[in-house]
Formats: sequence, C-alpha cells, structure tokens
Amino acid sequence: MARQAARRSRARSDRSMTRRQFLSTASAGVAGAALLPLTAPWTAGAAPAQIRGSSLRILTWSHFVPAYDTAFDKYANDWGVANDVTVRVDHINIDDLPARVAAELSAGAGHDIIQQNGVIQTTLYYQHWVDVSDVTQKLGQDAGGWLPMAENVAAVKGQWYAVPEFYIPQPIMWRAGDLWKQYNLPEPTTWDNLRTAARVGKSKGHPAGFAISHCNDANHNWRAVFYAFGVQEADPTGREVRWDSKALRDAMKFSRALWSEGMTSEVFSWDNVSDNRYLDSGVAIYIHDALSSLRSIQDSNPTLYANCNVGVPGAEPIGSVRRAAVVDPTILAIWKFSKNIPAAKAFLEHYGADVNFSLTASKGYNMPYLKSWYKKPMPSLGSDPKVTILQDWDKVALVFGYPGPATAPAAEVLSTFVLPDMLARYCHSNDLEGSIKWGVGQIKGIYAKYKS
Amino acid sequence: MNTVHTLGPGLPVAQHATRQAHARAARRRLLVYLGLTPFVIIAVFPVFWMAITSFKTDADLVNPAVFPFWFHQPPTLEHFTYLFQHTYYGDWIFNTLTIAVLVSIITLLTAVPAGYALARVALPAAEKLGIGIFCAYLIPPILLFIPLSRIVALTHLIDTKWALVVIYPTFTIPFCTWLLSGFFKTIPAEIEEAAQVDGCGRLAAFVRTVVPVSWAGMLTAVIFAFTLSMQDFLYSLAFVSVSDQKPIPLGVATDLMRGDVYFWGSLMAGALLVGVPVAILYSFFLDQFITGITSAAIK
Repeated sequence: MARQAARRSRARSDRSMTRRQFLSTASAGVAGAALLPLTAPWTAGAAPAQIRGSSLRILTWSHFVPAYDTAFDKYANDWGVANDVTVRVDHINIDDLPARVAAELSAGAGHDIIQQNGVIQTTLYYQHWVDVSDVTQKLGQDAGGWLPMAENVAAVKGQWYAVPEFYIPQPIMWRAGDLWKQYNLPEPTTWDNLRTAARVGKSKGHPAGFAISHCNDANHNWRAVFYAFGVQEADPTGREVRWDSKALRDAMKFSRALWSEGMTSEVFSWDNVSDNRYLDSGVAIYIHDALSSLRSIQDSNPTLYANCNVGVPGAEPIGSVRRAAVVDPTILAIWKFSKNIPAAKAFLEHYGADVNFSLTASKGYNMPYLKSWYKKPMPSLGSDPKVTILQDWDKVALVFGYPGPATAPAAEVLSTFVLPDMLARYCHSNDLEGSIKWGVGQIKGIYAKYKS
Repeated sequence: MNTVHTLGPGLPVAQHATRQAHARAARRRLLVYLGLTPFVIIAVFPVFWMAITSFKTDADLVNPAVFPFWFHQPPTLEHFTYLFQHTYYGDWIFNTLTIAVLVSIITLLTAVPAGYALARVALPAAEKLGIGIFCAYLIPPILLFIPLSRIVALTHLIDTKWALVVIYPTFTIPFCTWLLSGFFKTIPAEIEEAAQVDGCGRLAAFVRTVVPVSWAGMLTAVIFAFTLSMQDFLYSLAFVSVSDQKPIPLGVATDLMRGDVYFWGSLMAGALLVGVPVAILYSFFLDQFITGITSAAIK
C-alpha cells in the first residue's frame, strides 16, 4: 500500500514539473555531460571509462627504506584494483635509472611512468614526456602551491613534464648525546663550528666524514657547503655559467680546511654507503647524509641512535652567506610512447595528492614539494622528536643548478662529478687556481656542448 | 767385489744422492709454492671474504674495533633466510641458468660451423673476417645497448628473460667463433681428407673426424659463453626490469643495494650460493679448458 502511494505521489510530482524546471534540469544535464571528460573522476575514486581494463607499468627505484617499496607496490596495486587497471611496479637501483631510461627511449617501449631520482634530466627528455601541467596545476591548487624548486626540476619553458614526487633531505647527523658533550663543542649551527668539531673530533680519534669522490653524497654534501658560501652554478635561467667567483674560492678554501683538519684521506675512496658504515662504526663525530643512515642504526645500534641528532637549529648550518640544504629530487614522468597515458595521469594525480601515504610509509624520508604539507605537525616527522627539524626543510632546500633550474648541462656537471673532482684536486695539490681553472673549464665545456 | 763408497760413517753415496735429489725437489716445490702463494691469496681472498661475510651478523661486520677476518659473534644464517624469503632469489637462479644454458647452445650451434668455415673453408678474406668478428666482441656493451634496445623492442621480448637469450649471443658468438677457429686450425687437415677419401662428404667428415677431437675447444667455448652470460649486468639492466625475470647479477644489485644501504651479508650470500658450485663444476673440466684455450691461442 505504502509503495503504491509513493508511486502515485512521484507520478503527480512528475506531472507538476514546469517548463522552466524542465529546461533548467535539462541544461544542467547537458552541461554536466559536456564537462565530464574535462574533470578527473578518479579523484573521486571512480576511474574514467577509458582506463578500465587497461594496464599500467611503473619504473621506480629500490627505495632506501625497503618497507616503502612494499607499501608503494600495494598502494599502486590497490589503486589498480579500485580502478580496474592492472598495475605493475618494477624497482631498480637508483644509479641504474638513467641507463634504463635511455634504453627505454631508444626502444620506444618499456614503462608508462618512469622515475628520475637525484640526476634529473627533464630538460633532456621533456620532448619525449607527456605534458602533465594539468595534473601538477591541480595538485598545486589543492595544496597551497609547490615549493620553488619543484618547478626547477619538473618544468621546461613553463610547461610541466613531470610530477615532482618527493625530495630526499641530507641533514647533518651529529653525535650530540656523547661526543659533543665530552669535547664541550659549540652547537653546529654554522659551518665554522662544524669545522671546529671535526678538528677536535679528529684529534680524539673521531674525524668527520664527507665523501670527496664519485658518488651522490659527494655531490650534494659539498654543494650544500658551496651554496652556503655563496656559490652559484648558473644564472636564474640556467643558461650562463656562474661558477667562477670569489665565493667559489672561499668555499674551496673552507672545504679543503674542513677536510685536512677534520677528516681522513679515506673520504677520497668513499661510495654512497661509506658514510652510513662510518656512522654505524661509531667512529664518526658527524656525517651529512640521508635519513637512511640513521634508520640503519635505529635497531642495530640503539645507543648510537640515541646519541645522534638530526639537523641543527635553523635546519642546516650557516656559511658566510646563507643556509643551504642540497637535496636529491625525484620526479615521475610519463613517456609519450605510453599506451595508457590516461591511466598514468590518473595514477599520478591520485598518488601525488597522497603525501600522507608517502611521508608515513617512508618514515619521514620522502619530503613533499607541496607547501601545505609543511603545516606542523607533519605526518611521521611531527611525531618523531629525532627528525622534527626536517619540518623546516622547505626553508633551506635547494637542488643542483642553483639558482637556475636543473638543466641538462647542470645534470651533466652533477653526474660527471666535476665538483668533487675539483675539490679533490685542490686537496691533493693545494693549487687553488689550477683546480678551479680545471673545474670551471670542464663545466664551461659541458654548457657549451648544450648551447651548440 | 763391489765397493760401497761412503761419505760418512754408514752413509752410502747413492743414499746421499737420493736425499740430495729429494732436497732439491723439495726446495723447488717450496719455491714454486712460495711463488704461487701471493696469487692464491689474491684469488682466494674475495671468496674467503664473501664466505665469512655471508655468515656474519651486521654488527660484527661493521665493528672497526675487532679483527675483521674472523667471527666475533656467533655465525648466522639470517642473510640466507632474507635472500629466499624477501627476494626472488630462487627465480633469479632459475633465470640465470636458463639463459646461460640456452645462450651456450645457441653459441655452440653457431660458432662451431662459423669457426670451422673460417679455419678450413678457403673463404676469400677469411682471416680479415675472423679479425672483424673478434673486433665485434671488443665493442663495449655501453655503446651497443642503446641500438640493441630498439631490436629488443621489435621482438616484443622486452622485460622478459628471453630478451637476454636473444641478445647475449651477440657477444658470445664472435668470441667463441674466433676461439674455435683457432682451435680447428690445430687439427690436422689430413684426418678429414682421409675421411673424404673413404667416401665422406665435408659435413660427414667434420662430424665424424673433427668433432670427436674438438671436445676441448667446444667445452672451452661453452664455458666462455656460460660465464659471460652469467656475469652480464648492463644488458639485463637495460632489457629486464621485472623482478621475477631478472638474472642474479641484476637481481641482487636491485634488491640488495638500495642507494646507500647495502645488504652486504645477503649480497655475499647470493654470490656465494652461485659462485662456489659453478667454480667446483668448472674444476672438473679444467684440463680440457686449458687445452682448448691454449690450442686456440697458438694458432
């Protein structure tokens, strides 16, 4: 009876619709249908019809926090299940990504989404990558905009060809709990104080350790020092070389003194893992490295872990000019040869917005490029007193190529280790001008190659 | 009546001479072993290091306060457990063996007739062709992987182990052809001619007379092809990124080296598990291997 009454009532209601109501309802329906393809339905959890039943392949690094790989694979798979997309994630070593990316470009086949990590080659590959400005614009709008360096690594001529994924901070890990107190050292808020600490530490059998060799750590550690002393790699457009300067000479002199007074010659043979081992061995008074070095002692050496502080007040030590933290950026790009660009874009939009997952699953390792995520307390970082300082990293974070973007020549200067080689020459020869002449010559040669 | 000459009370000359000969032989042996010792240490040390690292705890491994070449904490199997429970190590072993066996077969099937043709058939410019083939082997993979990736894409084998079965012969065949060509030149042509006089064609003469005396050369070619296939990294990196399709060198480098975090124990365990059995297997064929490589080298 009640059901019949309801049906009668609905029939009356239909009959009583006015012409105006009919027209406005119909107009809204037509407008909605027209706008439907322009919206991103996957953000509401529903995949666009064209990606259903498709497949998506993602190439990314073997994360320094192994648990993140497991979490990310599941995350991608769950998104795939929810959107009826078969997702597969492949992981390779960070140092091997450039070779694999080059092979995929040559083959015109491989993954749909690829990651670049550390060595960013956006300006080299952007013509082969899909313009994702629509995705980055939406992500930026929803999260208070991007940190300035995000555009430096992901955009070319105002168009975004990659989604900035996260960056890896490299703070000072210093023995605040034991050695600093024992030797009554000044707080390491400046590079001069760190030089003092290294000198005292070395005399007591606890030298500091920064690689001066062909490894990623050497690149970002010494760039942090150099930028703090005012070194600029290029002009803001990234076209003109600006290495040769008084600031470079000051930075080189300071760096050589830091090495000779406070480190040993073994740093010339170090790889990326050496400083982790050095911290783990209990010898180092401080290192300058990613959180992985701290995480690797958290369970194996809890006493050492307890004695280590991460970062310094003000985030990074100040040099003669500024504070500067040089980070390893990561970006995600879509190949133009991808057979499933809509699904790739859909995934990037979904994953790019989920900073909470990235920060939490990586235990604070993956630092966001999106501004609103720096509201304290940040996920994971805010609840761990050991790493709360990283919540201020957005204020000091820079990437290679500074103050210009991470251009192809800047990436080549990075990947050919010109800076550590130039410093090593100076350390060995004590010939400042000769070392700078060699290094700047190499850099100018690289930039000239890209201009021609 | 025989006279026994003595040098001292009750010491016959013959006995003394024998002792001197033994002493000389012992001295000689001692010198030989002394000369060999540094080489043996250099060769065995990495294996020794690999073995003890495989069973050391991480804390023991990085402790700078202790003698590094022995255990200071009880040995552990945790690195082996990690290998099999948290990586695709079993798949990597299977893939590596599959690739190495198939590449060896393809190489042998191709390089034997090619090497024979270069050595025996009076091809115009055969020698220059042989040098050219060998030079092809010398082109570094870092230059070749980009153009080869296009070929792999055309075959639609990218990201499968079969891509490597197709690609590896590009460097195993040139080397083994050159090796076998040298080896075939050491075999007297008369035995084939005798077979042909008895009614064999060239193919039958080759199969019935040359092949039976060429096992050492062919075994050497197989060992080279097998070894080269097992140790490649760059091509597997460029063409295979799927975890369960990777061979061992790529798999361990991907899953056990995470930027600046190296799983040293598991890395060494992974290398030990495949390195030692293969070394033992090779030792059975050592004589044939030496015969094969030296025969090829002198021609």
